[in-house]
This record gives sequence, structure tokens and C-alpha cells, in this order.
Amino acid sequence: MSEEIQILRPNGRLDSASSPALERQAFDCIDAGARLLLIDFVGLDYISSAGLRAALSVAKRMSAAGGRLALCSLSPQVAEVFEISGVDAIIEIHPSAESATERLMAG
Amino acid sequence: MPSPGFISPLLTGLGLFFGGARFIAANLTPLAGPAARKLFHGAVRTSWTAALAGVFAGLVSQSTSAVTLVVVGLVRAGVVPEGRAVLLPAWSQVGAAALVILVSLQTSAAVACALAIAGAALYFDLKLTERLRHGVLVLLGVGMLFLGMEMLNVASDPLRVWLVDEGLLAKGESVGILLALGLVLAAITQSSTVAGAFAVAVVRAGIFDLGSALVLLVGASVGSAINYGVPGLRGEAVGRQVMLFQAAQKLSGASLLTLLLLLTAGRPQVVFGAFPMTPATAFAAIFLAIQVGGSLVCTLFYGPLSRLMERMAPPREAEALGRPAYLLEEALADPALALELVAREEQRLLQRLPAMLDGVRAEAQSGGLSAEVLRSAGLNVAAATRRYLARILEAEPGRHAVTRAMGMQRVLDNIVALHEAVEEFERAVRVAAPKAAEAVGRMVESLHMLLEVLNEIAQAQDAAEQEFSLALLGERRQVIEGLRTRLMGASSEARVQEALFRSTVLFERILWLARDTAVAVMQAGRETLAPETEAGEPVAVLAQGEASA
Repeated sequence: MSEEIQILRPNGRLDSASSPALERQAFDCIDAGARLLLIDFVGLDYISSAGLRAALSVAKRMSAAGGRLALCSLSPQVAEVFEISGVDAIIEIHPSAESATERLMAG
Repeated sequence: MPSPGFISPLLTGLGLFFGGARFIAANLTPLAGPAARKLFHGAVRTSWTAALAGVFAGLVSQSTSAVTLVVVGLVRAGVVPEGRAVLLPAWSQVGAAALVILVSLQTSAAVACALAIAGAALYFDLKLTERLRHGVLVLLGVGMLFLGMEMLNVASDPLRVWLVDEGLLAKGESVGILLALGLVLAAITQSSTVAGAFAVAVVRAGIFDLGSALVLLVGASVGSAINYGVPGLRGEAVGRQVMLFQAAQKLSGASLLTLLLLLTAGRPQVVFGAFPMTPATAFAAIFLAIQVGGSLVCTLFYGPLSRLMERMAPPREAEALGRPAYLLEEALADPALALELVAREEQRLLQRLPAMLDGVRAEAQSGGLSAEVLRSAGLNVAAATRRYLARILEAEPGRHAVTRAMGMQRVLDNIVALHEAVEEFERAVRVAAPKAAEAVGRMVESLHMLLEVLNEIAQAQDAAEQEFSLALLGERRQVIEGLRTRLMGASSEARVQEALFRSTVLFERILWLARDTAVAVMQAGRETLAPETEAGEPVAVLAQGEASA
């Protein structure tokens, strides 16, 4: 099992058009043996229902594989969507990539 | 200028005649309605049972419009499949012809008795049950109808003289006018039976001869076909094919009548001269014959006509969504299977909830059905599912099945409430969105995701996966209150603020309903998986009480 953190950085919008690609990338990482996955939303300014479901789907797959998923650097607007939808109670969310990395490595 | 002695009895006669016909139809229908529904439910097994049921329904209601409405309602609710149901209103035309036959008979003594009974019951304010009251009003209607005819008789001679003097009844020039009169009569009365009864009245009064009255009837039949055909083609109601079939029945009858008139060169009395009939009775007999003929043609050519109707009025997506897809009549013999079908129907309803928000989501595809249409369709299916569950329980299926059915009833109640709440939420968002688009949009996207999660819980077989998703439906009052505070600052307009406030209240309600539904679905799933003893009791129950065994 790899201890290296795999980082994905979607940009712009995470909606029904772009979320399948992020989901595939994440699954490929998990299938390749990654057990620590960080999705950095620093470049993301909009997330839709489809993006939320993609994040949940990755969280479920990672949980089933015995790994950990974290998100970081959510803009206030994106953070609000996670908060209202309750996804923040399921997936770890950190203010920055540094704090996320530190927590993931700490185990 | 018509003399005063002509106008008063004419208007009085017309008023009494049409008022009486309306009284009869309006009060016979409530008397017959509940029985008609039960009758229709089992009547569509074959074309001929549907035909007999239609004749009976027309006979007791004397209103093909009422029969059509009942059938359309049953089709819409998914109680009766649309296929052979189209034959019911078509054959009700035959039963409703009884009014025309009644009008052709000399029954002044019976009319006097009917009026006396009705008048006395109403004047002395007798304590009548609802059904008896309708019966008394039917008698009153019959009396009014025949009194109207008597007044038309009084007006007939001066009226005929006036029509001839004014050239309106000149020989050889009246066919077009008669056809037009028939069309107008059908448009005004919205009932070919009443139009037929009116034609008998004018034949009895000697205003028209038999041939002229039949030409008028052709016009009335075509007018009636238009009355049914236009809403059938425009698609204003579920049951369009029922309407179109009625139009086909009317056109078939009109065609047969036209053939009779052509073959007898406009003098059908030549055919009926051998029978001891008055012109009015002969008209009534022909009226009945063309109703039977028209219905028979449509029944014999049911297959090709149905295919033609299907092409002319293909089922619309909204109509299909408003009918159950899984509730098979045959499955009621096996309660476990029937309950499984109810579960699928409930899943189907839950699947649609996210789509109700598409009208207020930026990335939804345009051209989908509105939240209002989906809500209405959903409530129709829920009502049909409720009736199906009631029928499962009526069969006393055993405790385990009853428990499961109760759980499904709870889910169904929540599904209805969810449809109402989501549609109301969508409406509130529409009001608020222009002023607070981004903030409201985030709430909409969150709710859309949560409704999809609810759908996933209903579909999932794995309990762990369900529990994972259920965590998303937890209570979050503080989060919503914070959201509400932020949203209320988005606009100072009172209407928008009210809509924003309302939308957050509805969000909480929908979340609560979704969680309750998810828990109920998961519970129902556990009960399904529990193995049963031969007595139909779940083994888990026995295991808890095992100490006493």
C-alpha cells in the first residue's frame, strides 16, 4: 500500500460535464493502489449536484478500499454547498493543502 | 314580425325542455356513479362486456358526457386500462337513447304523476335521503321535459306558418339550414341525446317532417363528433383516445344515417310506412338504430381504429407519468409479489423528485416537464398505489405482509408530502432567484443532490451503502438558520424575502421527509429479507420469544 498522497486539482466548474472525468481520475488512483487521496479545490469556483455526488462516490470507493479522502481549499461559495448538503459531515475538509497533507500523513 | 302568441310558448317550451333534460342528467349521474365505477372496473375484460356495461351506464345516467368523464377519470387513475375502456362511452350512446324513446311516447298521465310526486315532495319538504332527493329531482326533470314538449306543440302551428312565410322552410333549400341547425344544436346542448330528444319534440309538434328531422340529426351527430374530437386532438385531458373514439362513433352513426337518407331519397317514411309508428316514434327508432350501428362499427373495427387513434393522439410523456407502471391486477393474487410491485412503484416516484428542480437549475436540460406537471402526475400515481395497497390488505394476506404494507403506506404518505413540498420549494425559488441567484442556486444544488441520495437509498440493496447515504440526511438546523440569515440579506424586497424565508423552511421540511422516507424504506427492506415460517411469521419474531419454546 502506497503512503504517498495523490493530489487532484480540478479547475473552474465541477458539474455534470466535468465531474465524470474527476471521478475517473480518482478511481484510477485508487485502483492503482493509492490510499491517501487529496482533492484540492483551490482552482474551483462552482460545484453542482453532480460534483457533490462525484465527491461522495470517490469517498465511498476510498472507504471501501480502506483509504482516506480529504478535500481542501474550498472557496466560501463551494464550502457553503458542502455545508448545506451535509457532505462536510462525511468527507474531511481542510482549509489548505498544507493542513490537509499534515492530517493525512498523521493518520 | 312573429305574433306574441308564438314567442311565449316557444320560449317556455324550450326552457322547460332543456331545463328538464339537465335536471335528469344532473341527478341520474349521482344515483348511478358509485355503481358505474364498480361496473366499469370489471367490464373491460372483453369488447362485448365493455359494450354491455356501456349500454347499462348510458341507460341509468342518460348522459354520455357523464359516462365519458367517469371513464376518463378511471383511465387517468390507472384503475382501468385505456384500451377497451374507449368502448364504454361509445356504447353508452345506445343506453342514453332511452331519453329519445321516452320523448317519442305519449305519456301525459305518467308525466302528471311524476310532477305531482316531485312537487309534493319538494313543497312539503319531506325528509329525503340523498339518493331519494336525486330521484325526486329526476322526476321533476321528466315532468319539465314533457311540459316543455306540450308548450312546443302549442307553438308549433304558428311557428310552422311563420317559418314557411319567411322562406326558411322552402322545399329543396332546407338541407344546408337543417345541417347547420343540427351543428348549432349539438354545440349548444353538448349532448347528441338532448339534440335527438329535441328533434323528436319538433317532429311531434309537426314543425319538421321525419326526413328533415333526420337531416338535422346528421348535423347534430357531426357537431357532436366535433365536440369530442377537438379536445381529443388538442390533448387537454388524459383519455384523449376515449374522446376520439366517441367522435368516431358519432361519425359512423352520421355516415349510416346519411346512407339511409340517400337510399330513400330523403324520404325514410317509405321504409317505415309498413310499421304502425308515428313519425316521432319512427325518428326515435332510427336514432336508436344509428347509435347501435355507430357503436357496432367502432367495436368491429376496434383494432384498426385504435391504431389510428394512437397515431392521431399518441400518449404524451406527462400522461404516461401519471399512470402506475407496475401495479398489475394479476399480481394481487400473490400478496408478496404485489407488495414488491408497490415498492417498485414507490421507487419510480422517488426517482422523479430531483427532476422537479430542473426548472430552477442552471445546468438542467431545457424542455423537461415542469414541477407542477410532475407533482400532479406523482400524486395520481400515489393515489393509484394507495388503492392498490388497500386491495392487498382487503385480501387479509397475513401479519408479515400487513406490516410491510403499513410501512409502504408510510413511505407513500411521505412521497406525497415530498411532491407537494418540492413543488412549493421550486415556486419559492423562482420568485427569489432573480434577486439572489447564486445563494439560492447553492441551496438548490444541495437539495438536488440530497433527493438523488434518497433515490439511491431506495434502490440500494446493500445496508452499509444505505447507512452511508443516510448520514447525509441528518438534521442541520443551525446550518439552515445561518443560511436563512445570509439569504434574507440578499434583498430588501418584501416579496423576495418572504420567498427566501419560505424556501429555507421548505428545505428543512424536505430534508426531514427524506430522512423519514429513507428510514422507512430501509426498515421495509429488512422486513422483506426476514425469512418466514410456514405460518407467514418472520423468524426474527420467533427468535426473540424463543426462550418460551
